[in-house]
Amino acid sequence: MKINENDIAKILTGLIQNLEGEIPFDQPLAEIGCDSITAMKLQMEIMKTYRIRVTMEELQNSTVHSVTELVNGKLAQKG
Amino acid sequence: MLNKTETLRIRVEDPEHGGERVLQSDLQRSYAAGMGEGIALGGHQSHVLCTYQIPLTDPETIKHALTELLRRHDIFRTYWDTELQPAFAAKLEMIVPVYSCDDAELTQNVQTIREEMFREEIDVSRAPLVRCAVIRSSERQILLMHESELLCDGFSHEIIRKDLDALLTGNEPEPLQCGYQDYLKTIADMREWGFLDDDRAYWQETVSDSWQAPAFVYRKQPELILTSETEQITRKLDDKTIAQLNKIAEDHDVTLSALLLTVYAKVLERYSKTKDFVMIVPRTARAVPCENINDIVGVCSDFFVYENRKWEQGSLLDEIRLCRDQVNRAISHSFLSGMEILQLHRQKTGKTLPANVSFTSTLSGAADTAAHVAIEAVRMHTSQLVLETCIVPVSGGADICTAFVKDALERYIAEGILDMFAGTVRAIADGTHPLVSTARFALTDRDRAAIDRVNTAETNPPDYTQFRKRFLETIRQRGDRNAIAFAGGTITYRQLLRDIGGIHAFFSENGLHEGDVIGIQLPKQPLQAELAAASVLSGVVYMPLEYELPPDSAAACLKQSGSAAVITDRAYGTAAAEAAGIRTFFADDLLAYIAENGTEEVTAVNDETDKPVIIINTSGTTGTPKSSILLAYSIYDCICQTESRLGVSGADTSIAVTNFAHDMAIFDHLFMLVYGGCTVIPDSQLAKEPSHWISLMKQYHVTVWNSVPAFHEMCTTALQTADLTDFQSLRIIISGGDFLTPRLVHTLWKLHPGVTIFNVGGPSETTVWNISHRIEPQDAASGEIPYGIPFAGTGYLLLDDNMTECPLGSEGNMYICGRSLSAGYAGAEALNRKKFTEYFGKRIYNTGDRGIRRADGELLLTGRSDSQIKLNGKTISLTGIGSALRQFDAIQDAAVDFDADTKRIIAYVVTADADRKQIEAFLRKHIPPYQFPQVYIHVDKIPLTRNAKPDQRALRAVYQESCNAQAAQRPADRTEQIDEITAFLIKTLREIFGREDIGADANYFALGGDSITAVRICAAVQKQYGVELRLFDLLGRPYLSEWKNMIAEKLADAKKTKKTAITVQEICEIISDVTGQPFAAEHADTCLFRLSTDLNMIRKIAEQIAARAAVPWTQYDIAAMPYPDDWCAALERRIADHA
Repeated sequence: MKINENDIAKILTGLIQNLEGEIPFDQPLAEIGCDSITAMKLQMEIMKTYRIRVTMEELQNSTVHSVTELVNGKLAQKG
Repeated sequence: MLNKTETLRIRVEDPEHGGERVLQSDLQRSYAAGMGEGIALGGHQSHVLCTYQIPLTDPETIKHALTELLRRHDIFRTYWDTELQPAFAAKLEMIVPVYSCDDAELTQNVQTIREEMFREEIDVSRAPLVRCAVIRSSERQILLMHESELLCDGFSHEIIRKDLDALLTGNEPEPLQCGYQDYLKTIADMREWGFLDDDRAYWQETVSDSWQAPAFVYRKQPELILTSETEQITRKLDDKTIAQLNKIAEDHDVTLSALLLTVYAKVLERYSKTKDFVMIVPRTARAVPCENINDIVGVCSDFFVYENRKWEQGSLLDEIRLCRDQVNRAISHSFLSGMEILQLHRQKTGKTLPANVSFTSTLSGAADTAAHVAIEAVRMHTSQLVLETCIVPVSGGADICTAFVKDALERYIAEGILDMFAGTVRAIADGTHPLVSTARFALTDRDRAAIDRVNTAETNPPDYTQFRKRFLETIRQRGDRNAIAFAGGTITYRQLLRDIGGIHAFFSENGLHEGDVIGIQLPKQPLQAELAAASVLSGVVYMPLEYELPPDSAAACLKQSGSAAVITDRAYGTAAAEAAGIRTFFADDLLAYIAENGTEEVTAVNDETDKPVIIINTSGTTGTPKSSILLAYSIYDCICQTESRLGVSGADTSIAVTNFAHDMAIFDHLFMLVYGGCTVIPDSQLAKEPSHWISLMKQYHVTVWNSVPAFHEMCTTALQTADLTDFQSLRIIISGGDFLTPRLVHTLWKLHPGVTIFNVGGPSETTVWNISHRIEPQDAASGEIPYGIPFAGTGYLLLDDNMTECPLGSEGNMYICGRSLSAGYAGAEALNRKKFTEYFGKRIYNTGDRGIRRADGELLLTGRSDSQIKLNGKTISLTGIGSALRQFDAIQDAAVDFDADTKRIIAYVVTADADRKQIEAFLRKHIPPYQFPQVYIHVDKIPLTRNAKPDQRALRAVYQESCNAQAAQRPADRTEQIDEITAFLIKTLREIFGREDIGADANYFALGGDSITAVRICAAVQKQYGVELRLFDLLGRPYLSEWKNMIAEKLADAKKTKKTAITVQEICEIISDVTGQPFAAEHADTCLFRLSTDLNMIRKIAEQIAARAAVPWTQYDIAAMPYPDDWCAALERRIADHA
């Protein structure tokens, strides 16, 4: 299984209120309104959806693109 | 006037789900377990009472709102059955009383009803686990809601507030998407997906053997507290402060909760004896396993374990970032709950971690200013935590609530923690404590004021230039009053002056001048006090040396102090002086010189206040004593402050029981003479005999008794069997140099009703004593005898390992500054630089003691920070003993430890062939006998820690093993024949030491015996056999077999004496019987023939005396010796001849 940036962006759209326009894939998540509570929610959504866990540290300073790569890496590892 | 106007009956029914077992969180499980008996702080329910201000609605609206509230949240349907398992109730019922009162009385009435409700236990077997009451006036309406902590935790109050806000104003609350059970179910599901195993692995790695709870200075250790009464303190943060904090957190890219948690942890660090500790933090920001988690009452019913790392030198911001990362890691591994983490810790380390502090912050975003319902206050009762701090949003800002167990913590400590936290948070908000600064939280104003008050110098210090003038004037004025008394007589002030004149002449003739140091090493005798007085007046620096000090050590003292000469006796000899390359003068020569050259023409040198006057030698870590130089102004300051604070005067008589070389003895042999009082010097041979002290105290009507507690204890043991009818003079007891126990205080008061007892202190480096406390009955009752408050001009600083001042109630290292400080150690520049340092421009001395300061400014001693111990009032350096042992060629390596329970010094030695006797023969040359180890354990090597220091833990295990092996060798297994005296001694020793392994081969010192227990043994022997053993006899012969021989000899003597000796009294009684006329003993010097010339009668008297004395005695003897008072000696001689 492999995901793409749109999957993560979709989750974020549901979590961040008042999001305007499309989510830029290479902009730090903190700059598009992803605060620490939202990051936790993102972490849980990824957990529920893909049954893998990304840590809060991994989500710090991350972008949609880096999160996608992270998830894909963990999915591949999980097999 | 408070009226109950009506009762609201609230009912919610759900017959479909009645009795159904439901899930519970780990925290709920722990609270439920905590309500069971036998749990630490347990048997009590944790509960919370929240005060809401609600709109002035009618009771029906309130009823409707509360009904809906109970219906909305499934947590309210939960009850805990008889097995303390949660289940859903089919029916909820709640009776809500409604009260009304005048506006002016509302606040008071709310408080009264709140406290009443708070005291009521909530019945957990009936849902809902919540009680409510309404109080209204014409202007305001208050809803009180009292909840069991089984239901929820801090965060839920905000949810309830929002719901009530909507329900009471006729609005629809936000619909709930999931309930508390849904939330727990989601967590359970997630665990099943395997994340739990990952988290367990993470925590398995993280859980550390070094985890420990914050250790405060407890009133009573938490594990000993069986009932809990909680007190609560609250401080407020206003909206503006919270807004500023949020802004600052945002600007620095950290969360507000991390900021608050860090500050709280760092405040606890200041208060905790352990810097690396853990506390529990309820998960208010835990990972969110389901939608709308923030709308579930009880959401934070779990916690994680937060580890505070010892403060590094980074900024507060660095610390907050570390905290944030740690919290994030914890949240990322939150399927293992806090309870499970603690269990994991127990499994991994084998230790139960008392996680006794929790911190919760529920501040989030801006306050809801448009709200109709506001939280006014929160009242908490914590049953399983010593200290629980919770930040709760309330009307106009937030309350920081700290609840603490009353029996565990002093209120002033809890207040200090809260005030330092609130003060720091406010300082961060207003920018006076920027996050980027190296953070050292300022002391609170209360603490600063209390510390400054006791450390502040007084405005009028004594006129130091008057020291010697006053002293000389006193000596002249006191004339024929006694200055020094001893068993054989007294020395008046006139005689003292003359003797001082003689000593001055001796000094002068031998080229000893002002500034020269003279060592005095003599057994206890009046000359020592005279030498002290003469030295002080002449400007020669007086250095008393312990008479028991081995010559090598004495030589080291003489050398390092640059002594010009030593005065000793012929028995001690010249070895020390020769080794030091200086002259020796013998006391008998000096006395002869004084007798011949004494003069009352004495002058005193001018007072130069910063000149050395006395040098005191203290125990050193290298085995060599350190020579502490005391200056004139420090000594005079101490003289004056002792006079004013302790109330000692020239009318007093003290007894000098302390060793002359000990700084406390300066009081007896110098201070008392400066005051114009009298000092009583015990006989050197009997210097350690309490019976001798008592006899002198009675004889000279001693009023002041200054000594270490060990001597008080020895004396009180002896006094309990002594006749106290002639001993009513004592009015002041000064106790110093060691811990004074409440038990001893009680005994002293019992024996000397009305006596004033002072606890005094101060190391030898700070001039005799510089801190005192007058003991009051409440001190003895509380079990805590304060060290005291410093003398004016002296400051005691308590600093932590970072050299930051400790707040009140926290333990720190004790430093002293001010006028009492010694000039340093003679001839030890490197050591002076280490021990006498600077602190904000003040010269300070590190005492090595640890202590705390109470809210009233009184200091308490709590122990030592180095390897020094106090044994019978003497400071002993274990390192020094180790160093001395290692100098012995036959010992390859050694380590020394102290068993505080049995008060024994234990030496671990690596040696092939040296036995105890050989080692002690060697030690005798290096350290005084009282420093000899009582136990020697032979080991193959000294176990070391990673830092290459002796591993005390491993050594103690070896010691314990050795003790166990000894205990295993039961006396019953031994085949030795035990006589009656030995059996009695064994029984007595077993009772005293509480050990069953004591046999006939026991060595008293090896058992940990000291002079106090020796007094008890003397008393027991006297009671059993009527034989008087001297302390000196016992301590000089440590083996039980030697005691047995001694007692047997004395018994034989007594038996012989009883058979043969005859007293004058008995002779007079015989004469009275035979003549039929009273013949009193005072007439024994009367010629018998003046009483009667009847030869038959004289013969009869002779016969009866012969029978009584069991030796021949005839009328011819009487004729040759007609005075009865001569007969005793003659009969003794005849008995001896006859024998």
